[in-house]
Amino acid sequence: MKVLVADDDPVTRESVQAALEAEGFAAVTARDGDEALEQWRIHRPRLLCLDIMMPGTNGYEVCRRIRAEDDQVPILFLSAKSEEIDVVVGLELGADDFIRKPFGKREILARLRAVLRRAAPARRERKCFELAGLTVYPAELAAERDGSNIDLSPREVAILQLLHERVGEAVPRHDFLDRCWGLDYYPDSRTLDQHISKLRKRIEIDPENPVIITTVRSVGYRSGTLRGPRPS
Amino acid sequence: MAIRGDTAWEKVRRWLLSPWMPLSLLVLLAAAALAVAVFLSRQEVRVSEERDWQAVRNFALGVQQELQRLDTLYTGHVRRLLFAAGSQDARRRAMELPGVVQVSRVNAERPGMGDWHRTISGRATDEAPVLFFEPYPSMLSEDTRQLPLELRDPDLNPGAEGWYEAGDRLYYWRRDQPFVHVAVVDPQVVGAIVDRWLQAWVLPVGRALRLAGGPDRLTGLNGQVITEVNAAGLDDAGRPEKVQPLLSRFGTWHLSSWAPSRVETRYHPVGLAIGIGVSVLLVLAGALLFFQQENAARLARQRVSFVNRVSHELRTPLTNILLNAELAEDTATLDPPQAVSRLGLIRQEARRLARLIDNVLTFSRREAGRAGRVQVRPTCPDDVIAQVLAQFAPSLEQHDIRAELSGAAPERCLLDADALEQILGNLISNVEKYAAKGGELRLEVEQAGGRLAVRVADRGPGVAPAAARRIFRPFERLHEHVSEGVSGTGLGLTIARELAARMGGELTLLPERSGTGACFELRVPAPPYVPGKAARRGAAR
Repeated sequence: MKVLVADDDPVTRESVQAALEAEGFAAVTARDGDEALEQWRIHRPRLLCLDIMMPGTNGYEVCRRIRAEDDQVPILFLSAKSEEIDVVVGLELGADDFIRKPFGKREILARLRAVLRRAAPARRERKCFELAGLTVYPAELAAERDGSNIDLSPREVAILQLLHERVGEAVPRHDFLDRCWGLDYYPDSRTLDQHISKLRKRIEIDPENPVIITTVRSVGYRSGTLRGPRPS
Repeated sequence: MAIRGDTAWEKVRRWLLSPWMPLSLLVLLAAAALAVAVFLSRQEVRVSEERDWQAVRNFALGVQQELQRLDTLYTGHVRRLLFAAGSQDARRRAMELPGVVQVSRVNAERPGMGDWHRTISGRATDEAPVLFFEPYPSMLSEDTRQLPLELRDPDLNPGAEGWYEAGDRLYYWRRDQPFVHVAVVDPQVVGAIVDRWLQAWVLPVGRALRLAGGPDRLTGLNGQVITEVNAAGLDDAGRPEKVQPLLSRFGTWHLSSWAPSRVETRYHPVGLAIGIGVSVLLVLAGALLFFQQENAARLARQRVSFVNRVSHELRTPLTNILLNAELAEDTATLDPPQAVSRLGLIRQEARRLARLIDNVLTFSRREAGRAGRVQVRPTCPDDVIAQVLAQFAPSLEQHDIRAELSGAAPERCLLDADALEQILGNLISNVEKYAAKGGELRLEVEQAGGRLAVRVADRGPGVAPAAARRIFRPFERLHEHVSEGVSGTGLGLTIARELAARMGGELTLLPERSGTGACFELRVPAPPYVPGKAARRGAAR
């Protein structure tokens, strides 16, 4: 899922990009408003994170121009401007959320997911798949279990999607890495294990005795839906 | 989409609290004072003009001649009446002649004897008084009129006649031995007839008078107006300049004449001057108040804006620190080199925060009048410059700015290394903010004759000559608009220049050669450091 990050501060730009990519988003960056508009036209990202005070065309103007052409794409302002009027102007121009600096990685990801969820079509029209009692909504980066919502990152959705496509099969580690990290990325196997561990903590009822994602020793992982819970 | 606007009350409230309110009030007061002064000092003056008085005299002469003609005409009628007093139709003729009250025959030789008095005719026969020759009027009753004794003179020729006047009546007499015939005439009745006649008579002749200018008025026996010429403005014309009496047997007519005049509006100079003076003072007081309040409001706005900008400037490096701390935390075990890189960014952003805090503190001390002293110590300028460049290296790289250093200042000298670092930091930070697109930062260093010169140049948009002085003022930024892309506190250059001055030098913006960007030059004294001299100085202390 592509996200455009526009900020004139190179460190902020790079840090947000890294935070998003760590969660499986594909981040495209722009250093000013004009470049943001250009990147938006080229890549058509699913979401935009715009700074307000940028050289040339400012964030407000970028938002206004994008809204003139597309009133669906979610837009978040990431700004050090903290006055109420700044937030009001941003939201009036059509932004979906306004994140005041300073913010951390977890805050921006949570707000980003929330915006994506709000921007998703009505629940009955949504595409989803079932995995051992867990309903996953890929477009919204969300899942539902026992009536409670769980936010997911694109990478976590990709992991669950792969398990769903090959339900009951033992999926090798390299398949996960190729599919969910990309062929150009070479993480070690601990990266996958850590991700699976974090994912289990959020989707399993009892992460110590996983049902949705079970481990296949020396191979990889498998969706445990067909086997049911393992005997303790 | 539109943001809800202010309510009318908020607009009024804002105006009431704005510097425009006292200015508007005082300008209104000034206008009122001026209006009152004009009103009080204003006076209308009637100014007389020259006129042709000969034409007025000619007209009066004409009227006088006409009155005499009428007098003669009437006298002729009365004579003929008395001449025919003994005839059968004497009574009828007396009735027909206007103004004749009574015609009587008096025996002048034997007054009071037998039929000595006989009223021949008259309009009011029953009330007609008895005419009597009596030297003592007090002896006469109310219905008796005295006739002049000379009419009894036996030597008076028969047929002698003439007018005499007694009381409010005119008497025309004629001696017919032994009788005297007398016609009693009421001059008011004759005068009224003359008035009517003159009203018609003056119509053609009055034109000449009208051409002679100024207003004129012809009045009759009882003051009633017969005619007025050029009468506009006669009501408040005041007293006439000339009044000519026009005499007749029956009374006096008057021709009153005024010189033509116009009304001029004049102002009392002292009153007007006081009014204008008060008004000018009020306007000046308003302007003074306005500028004072405007200045105070501008300073307040600048301070609020400064606080906002500082807050803004703090937030960006804080965000970067937070983000990178979390990223480092996440990658610490999986990707240690990545985590180390993140820690480097945190250090870089912390330095950025430190620079900002240094600037704010320096400015706060300056505002409080507690500007710190220069902490001179033996320093190698090259080391300071290299240290600043090293601090900025990652940031310059992120901004795609290539740094070039030329010249050198390797000799140890006495200067404030912290101040030099802060000045250079502010100048390089400005290049990052405003001239990143130029992609180049040039530092030229010279050390000679106990002085140090550092020029910091870029290939950015430069500074317009008109703004060259303004950029060194506190809070001043070339672009103040809220959405302007580049942030900053507006203090960097102010502090850099003050630090340079405190070091005994100066920071200037060199004149720009077209399209070459901005170039700031720092020149400070840098006396060579001689270790022995310092030691001796220390020992002496």
